[in-house]
Amino acid sequence: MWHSLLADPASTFWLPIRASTSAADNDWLFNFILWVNIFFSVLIIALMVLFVWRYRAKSAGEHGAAGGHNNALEITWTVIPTIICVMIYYWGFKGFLHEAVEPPAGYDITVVGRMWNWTFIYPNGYVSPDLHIPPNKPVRLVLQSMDVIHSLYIPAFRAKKDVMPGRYNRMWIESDDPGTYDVLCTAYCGKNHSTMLSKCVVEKDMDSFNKWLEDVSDWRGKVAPIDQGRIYYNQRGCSVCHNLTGAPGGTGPTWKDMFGNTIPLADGTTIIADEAYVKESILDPQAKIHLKYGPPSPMPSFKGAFKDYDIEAITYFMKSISANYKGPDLKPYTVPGPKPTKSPGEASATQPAQ
Amino acid sequence: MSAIPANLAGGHAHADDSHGHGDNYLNHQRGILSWLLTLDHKRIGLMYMMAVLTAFAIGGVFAILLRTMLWHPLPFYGVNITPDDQQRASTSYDLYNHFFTLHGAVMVFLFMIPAIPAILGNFVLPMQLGAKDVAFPRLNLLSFWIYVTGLVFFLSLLLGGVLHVAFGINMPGGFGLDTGWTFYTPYSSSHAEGNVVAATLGAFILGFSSILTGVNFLATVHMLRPKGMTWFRMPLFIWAVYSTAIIQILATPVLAITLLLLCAERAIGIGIFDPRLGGDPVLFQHFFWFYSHPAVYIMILPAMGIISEVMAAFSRKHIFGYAFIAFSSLSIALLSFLVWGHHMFVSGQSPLTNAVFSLITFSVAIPSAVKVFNWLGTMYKGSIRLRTPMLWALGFIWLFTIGGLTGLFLGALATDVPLTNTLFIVAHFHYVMMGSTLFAFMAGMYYWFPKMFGKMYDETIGKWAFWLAFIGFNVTFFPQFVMGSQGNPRRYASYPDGPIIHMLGRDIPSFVAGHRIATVGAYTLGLGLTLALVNWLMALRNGKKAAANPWGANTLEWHTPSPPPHDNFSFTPVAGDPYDMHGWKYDPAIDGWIEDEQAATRPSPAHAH
Repeated sequence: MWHSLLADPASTFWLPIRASTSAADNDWLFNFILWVNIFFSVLIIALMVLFVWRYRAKSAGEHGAAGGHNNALEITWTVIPTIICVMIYYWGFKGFLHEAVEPPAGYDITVVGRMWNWTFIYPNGYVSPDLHIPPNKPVRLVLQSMDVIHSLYIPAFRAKKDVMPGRYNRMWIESDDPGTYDVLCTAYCGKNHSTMLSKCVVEKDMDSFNKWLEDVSDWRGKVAPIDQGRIYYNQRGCSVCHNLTGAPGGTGPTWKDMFGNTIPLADGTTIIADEAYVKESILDPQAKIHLKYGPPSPMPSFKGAFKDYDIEAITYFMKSISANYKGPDLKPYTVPGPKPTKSPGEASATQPAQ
Repeated sequence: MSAIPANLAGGHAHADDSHGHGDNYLNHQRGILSWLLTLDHKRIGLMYMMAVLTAFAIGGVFAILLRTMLWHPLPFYGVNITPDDQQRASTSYDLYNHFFTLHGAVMVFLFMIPAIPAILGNFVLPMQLGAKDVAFPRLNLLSFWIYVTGLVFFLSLLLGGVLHVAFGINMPGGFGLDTGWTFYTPYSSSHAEGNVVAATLGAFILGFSSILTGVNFLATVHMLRPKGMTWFRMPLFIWAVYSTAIIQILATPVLAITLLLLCAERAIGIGIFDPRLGGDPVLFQHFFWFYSHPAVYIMILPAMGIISEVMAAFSRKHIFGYAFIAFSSLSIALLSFLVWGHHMFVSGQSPLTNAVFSLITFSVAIPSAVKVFNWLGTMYKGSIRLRTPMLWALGFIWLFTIGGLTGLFLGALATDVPLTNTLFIVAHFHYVMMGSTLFAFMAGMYYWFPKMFGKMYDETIGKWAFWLAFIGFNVTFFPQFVMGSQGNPRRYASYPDGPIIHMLGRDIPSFVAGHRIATVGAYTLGLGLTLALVNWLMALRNGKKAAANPWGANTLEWHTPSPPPHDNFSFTPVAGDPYDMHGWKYDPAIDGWIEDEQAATRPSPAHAH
């Protein structure tokens, strides 16, 4: 009978609506403990009331029966609670183990907590104020805090984990129920703690999730390509190897004055750094290797991570910092409109203090 | 000041009759200094009562204030609001955060930890031992004044808050306190605007009061037991206070060190807990709960001791399973040191650590359950009198049962994850720690009030006070179980509507309803406790004279007049079985019990020491 009740994910008197794959087991244990609670509290309180009534004093000077102890009784009411406790412990541990062990194949999202909002960083670098996840796929969350302790809590998933400054905590969630659910902070974090809220949107299927991510990640019409190029330079790791100052050394060639310049290649030929060369180098770094940086080139391929218009943005940015670029003047500007991202440099700013 | 001799030997200084005429500890010396500098454990107990009840009133006012704020769910939950709205909301969030922090800190450090040991322990323990005083009366006075010093630190926080809010004056070090009573780092060390240094120093100082009281009681129990009182003839209240003293001595120094480190980080930037300074915030949680979990048992163990006394006395029956109750106190005291990690199941500590702490946590449930069943066993075939102390004690069993059983949800790892840090945990610890301790404290106050002051209170008012407090308490905290499991986090100044209930043709937002019910309950609880205070004040003014033994109990404090003489006993007491009450018979003339010469059932002290 319980299981038929539990099959219904709607909220009950005690528990909120249920939307994750592990919530049903969790709720089963909750309900088991609830019935243990009801049984023993009714038993104890009923006995208490019964004794008060049954053994009430008949006269002012009356004494009670001779008391003492009863070892058999003591052992009984020690052993029975012990057995129940061990059962509850075991089921609690089993459920926890399921929540603690990450499935090998999952989707990774970085969660950043700060006073007093949440941001969710997707593998393509998109930074979202809401958590969107695909359904029926384990989603692994890597939690980090910019300042104090926060705690990520999604009641519908029965999931919670503290978000600690100075360390990465991890949790994973999997939802089989598309919809919108509350995301709350449950570790007191100062003045606006109770407004540190967000939403978790479980998309209908993997396709609609991908479409959402593609749509929100499309910066066109919101940011000038040249600015988006600089954001990518800072966010996607370009800046790790390519400097903008022209200083010699480093793991990759400087971007200062590179566009339009003649590049010496490892096979002894040269090439003009034009749009085609930039695109090819991003997608297939081993195709044309700079004389001083390989072979093989230390650069990873960014195939799949960038769309064509992303690469155009990077090219625009490279043009804007190159004296060898001959063309219309390129000044950074941003068209008015909603900002798709929090701020440039988001990803590099989210590293917790060492 | 004429000091009171602390030695236990010696004759009877005041041989007065057993009805409390003439010289007693209250009128033995006069003048304010005879109180402030007294070495008499009874007077120190009463001074503690004044100070601790003052702190209780302050903590209670904050409870009422924060519940009043929660009447209205600030309408900013997940809705678009203007910057002006945001500003106004922030101000009230800020106020709310100060309220719940000061409520928690004052209640824990200034009321619940000292309440039973310092007030009732001080007054009753030496008398139950048949002693003239505690082992170290001067140390006892010192720990009282250390307590007052700690109280002054907390009052300075309040003063700073009032100055800031009313006059815009900022005291150095910040105003009020907004860290939560747990002082979690790095918020407390690097971000909070409250005066964290004053608060932690205050708690640090209060810790020493607690340690010294513990040392004193431990020495007293070991050294000053009377002829005939073997370890297993000690009243269970003594066992409970003794177990508590062990925790006070072993755990409190850890808190002291932790708070000093926190002060150092906050004041001079030494990196211990803040990762930006190279520290570890989880380390603070380990340190903090290593004290603060056992501290829960500092509150509840003496409460259980009182319940054992009251249950036996008002069932007029020997306590059931004496040895099991005594040993369960000791085992709770020892196990309480091994479970602190259950406060940190979602902090990211290793799953193995969680598994071990969860298992040990369940082991604490067993001795607690054993005690409850033994109290029921005591009532079985008793001759039960529903006097006021008994009502409060039965209230304790109700609250402790619910509070203890709901702990099963939180000890189990899987169910703890969604429930921790929600209102469920607030409800749980208010039932098991605050409600139980408070109701046992009230049971103890009503039980020993006639002994303390030689006056009887009005039972009708006392019972009204109980019912108001009992109903108020449940109405306040039971809805919080449901709101918590439905996902309302704790320490939230604003809250969502929650699931909508369709009732009487209306859509009722359940969290709004739940919070309002809780607020009404809090007012009722406050009214009940105020009524109890009025009850006591009326009794002091024109209460009936109390008999030496109004309840017919057989622990030694009932063998001496009410109020007791300065030296407690005019004879050298010999202890028998503390729960064998057949040596007393009821005398309607004094509404009390007198020693029954015929019965002479007191066993001889066969195995003394």
